[in-house]
Amino acid sequence: MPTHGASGGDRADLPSVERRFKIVGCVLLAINLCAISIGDGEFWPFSKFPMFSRAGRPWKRAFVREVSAEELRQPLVEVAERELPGKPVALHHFHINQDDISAVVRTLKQPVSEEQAALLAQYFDRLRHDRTMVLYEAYGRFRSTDRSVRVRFLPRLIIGPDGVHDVVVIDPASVGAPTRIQADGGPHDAAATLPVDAGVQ
Amino acid sequence: MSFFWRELFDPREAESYGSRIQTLLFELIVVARAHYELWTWSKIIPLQPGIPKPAGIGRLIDVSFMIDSVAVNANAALTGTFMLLGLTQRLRWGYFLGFCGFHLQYVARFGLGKVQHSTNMLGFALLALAAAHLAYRDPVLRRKAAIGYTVLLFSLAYSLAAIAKLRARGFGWADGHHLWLWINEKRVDVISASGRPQMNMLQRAVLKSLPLATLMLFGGLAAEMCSALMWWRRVRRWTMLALAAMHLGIAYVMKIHFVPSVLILLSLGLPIAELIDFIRRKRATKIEDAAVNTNA
Repeated sequence: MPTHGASGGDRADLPSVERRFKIVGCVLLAINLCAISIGDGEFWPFSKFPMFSRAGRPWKRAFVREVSAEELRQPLVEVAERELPGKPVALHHFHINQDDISAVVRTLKQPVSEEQAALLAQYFDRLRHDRTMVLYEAYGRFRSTDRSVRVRFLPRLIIGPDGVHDVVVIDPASVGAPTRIQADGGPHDAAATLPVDAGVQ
Repeated sequence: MSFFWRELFDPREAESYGSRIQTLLFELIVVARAHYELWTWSKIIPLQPGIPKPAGIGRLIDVSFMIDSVAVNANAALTGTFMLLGLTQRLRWGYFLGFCGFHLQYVARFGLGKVQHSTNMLGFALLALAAAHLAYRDPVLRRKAAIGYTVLLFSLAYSLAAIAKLRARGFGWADGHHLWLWINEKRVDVISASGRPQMNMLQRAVLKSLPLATLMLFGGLAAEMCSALMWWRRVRRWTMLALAAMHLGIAYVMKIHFVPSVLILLSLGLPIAELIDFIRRKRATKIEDAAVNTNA
């Protein structure tokens, strides 16, 4: 049920109206292509939209566990999900965004840089004064045998009232394995790694 | 005007009452969702530890002043006001200024290294509205142009997404194993965010069936590859609904939500105009029949 088209004045100048649409459309396309050509292809809202394009590549995400002093006396080693110590910390409840923390974890240096330690201390400031947490790097990849998924949790940092500290992960196969730094600052001897788990699949 | 451009914008075609309402609904959804994002981010931004990896305009100017609750709330209020002035056609530059303010809020929110893509389509819709309002004064032309520019930008965006996937892995991208890997990644995210593992029925079914996982990925890739077809009015509805279905599948299986994209695609893809026009025609016919019977 058509009611009306363009107003009387514009109707007489339809070619100009159409030309204007094309020009503005071309300008929008040009801006779009220029914006994604510079830098890393991201200039909101313009983007190359590379999400999910890196299919099959291993991933790394952040994972935080609250641990007790007793649990911290045990070796902190790479484990499967069911062997994680402590209890989960629901980041959403504390308005901490999982994507933001994971972006930091992906770029963590060994040992952690002062800037990253300060950033994380500030990010977890509301939580760390009355609890001690271990920040894990959760990573997932395919097994070479059957392409099932293997997910492991690697402890990276201890975050607590006294700040952010590195965790040195123990490799018992290496000679002169480094000592592990505990949250209390004291060194402890290396301990055997827990048995490798078959993953979540 | 060539066929392709006329499919996006035809000023000669009369606008039905239903089309007018559907376009208004699209505008309302865009403005309402933009308000929601602005005020949601305004609660998070002051809690962030700075902007170590600025995006967008943050690469050109220092936007660290936005990490402050006064600044971020003021920007949200101002941006929202400009959008409302654009929606009510009181300020020609309203949508454009609203778009700029929204960009600033986005840059302040996502300056920690991870950019979010769920609001990109919302940004395109705002930009389309801004361009339409600046290009034309006539309300009918503005509505038609806004839809045309939205379709233009959306079709390019989804096509680029398909190209990125095909460049990276070719058609092998649609291997169901890849979806398994992603579901496990998202599972870790869900536990990290909420403290509890949660897997729905579809996720469990996909993890048990490689053909189902492959089919889902193939469907999503096909929807993106065909997104340029939305230029053609005859299939525009189906293309948009297919993309909306893709997003709903991603939300349910991957727990990644593109709510603004789904809302906009549904507002433009569902036969709302046709339904309204049909109801109006039926009512007009009933009234006419009643008048004829009365006279008889």
